[in-house]
Amino acid sequence: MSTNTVRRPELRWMLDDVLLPEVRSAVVLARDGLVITATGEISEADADRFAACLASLRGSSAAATEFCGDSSEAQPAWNQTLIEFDTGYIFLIAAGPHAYMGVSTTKRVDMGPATQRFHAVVQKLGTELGTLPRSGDSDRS
Amino acid sequence: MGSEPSGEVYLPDTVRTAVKVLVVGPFAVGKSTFVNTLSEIEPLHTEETMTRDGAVVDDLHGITDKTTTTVALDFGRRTLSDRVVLYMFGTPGQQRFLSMWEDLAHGALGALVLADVARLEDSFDVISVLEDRGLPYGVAINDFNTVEIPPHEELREAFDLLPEIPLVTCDARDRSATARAMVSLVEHVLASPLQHARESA
Ligand SMILES: Nc1nc2c(ncn2[C@@H]2O[C@H](COP(=O)(O)OP(=O)(O)OP(=O)(O)O)[C@@H](O)[C@H]2O)c(=O)[nH]1
Ligand SMILES: [Mg+2]
Repeated sequence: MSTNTVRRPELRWMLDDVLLPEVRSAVVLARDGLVITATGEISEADADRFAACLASLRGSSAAATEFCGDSSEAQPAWNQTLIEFDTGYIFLIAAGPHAYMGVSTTKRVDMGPATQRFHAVVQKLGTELGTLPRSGDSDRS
Repeated sequence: MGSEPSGEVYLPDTVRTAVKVLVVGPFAVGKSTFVNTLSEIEPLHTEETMTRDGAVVDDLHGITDKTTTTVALDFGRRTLSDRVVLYMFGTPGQQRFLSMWEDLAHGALGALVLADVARLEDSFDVISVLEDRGLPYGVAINDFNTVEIPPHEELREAFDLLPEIPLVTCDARDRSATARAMVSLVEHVLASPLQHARESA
């Protein structure tokens, strides 16, 4: 039977690398908005909610490409979205074909090394996820 | 329309299955309320206060306590049986947020269309979007107790529904009514020919 994204807890170790000081939690999600794996201080229910929220954020971010750059050129691809709050940041980064990683940090996070680490992790994730049959990605659109 | 389905969804195997569905429909038809009622986890909402000029408040036929509208999504989860876990993504109802749809709809296996009998025609657009996408759907009439609900045959005719498409009446504030509506949709999704085609693909 065709179903949506199935959780893959065995990928969690790859994600654990993002757990630098001041990182609260991280979620990897598929384009359908369902969790692939999650780590850090986050319950299963909250990981589901975070993923749904990130999917919507990704959608709005991608829709904004229209307003970025010269209309005569091809539309730029979306790479990442950063949200800043009084008390922290949320990073949303592309992680391979049709998957994304969201990371929640406090405001005290060391931006340089953190973003470097996040990008290294999505690189690895992308390779791993790219070899998998795409889940939740039956293109209807 | 025969008796409305109730009880558990029948699935042939023993795996737990994630089923993503959309909750769609026109402005202020009760989509957020529906997700709120049925979710077993704290639902996720993106409600923003409506300003007078942005909103079509006149369309609200007697709904006076509505001050907010969904701008991005509603999300909720509900375990329908020991096999099926439903992931509900509610869409914004207002036309100007239609650009949010593309990503929200991605990978959805079906959609529940909410409709209000006082303004049935407001649900026609969304039904044609679903038909264009080839997404299986069911229709749930949300009972606002303002207008008497016509017989199902009449409603089916108004929506031009194929016989296999589920049509139920519900109250978006009622747990078992919303569960019944979703069960009817999920059973339809699992039985739809497209689903079989994709299973064997
Ligand atoms: N009487 C009655 N009122 C309802 C029912 N469902 C929702 N409402 C009320 O109707 C109003 C609209 O509900 P929402 O859930 O915000 O509608 P929506 O479809 O999410 O609206 P948008 O996101 O703005 O398109 C709210 O004030 C609800 O309290 C129902 O079944 N019966
Ligand atoms: Mg809403």
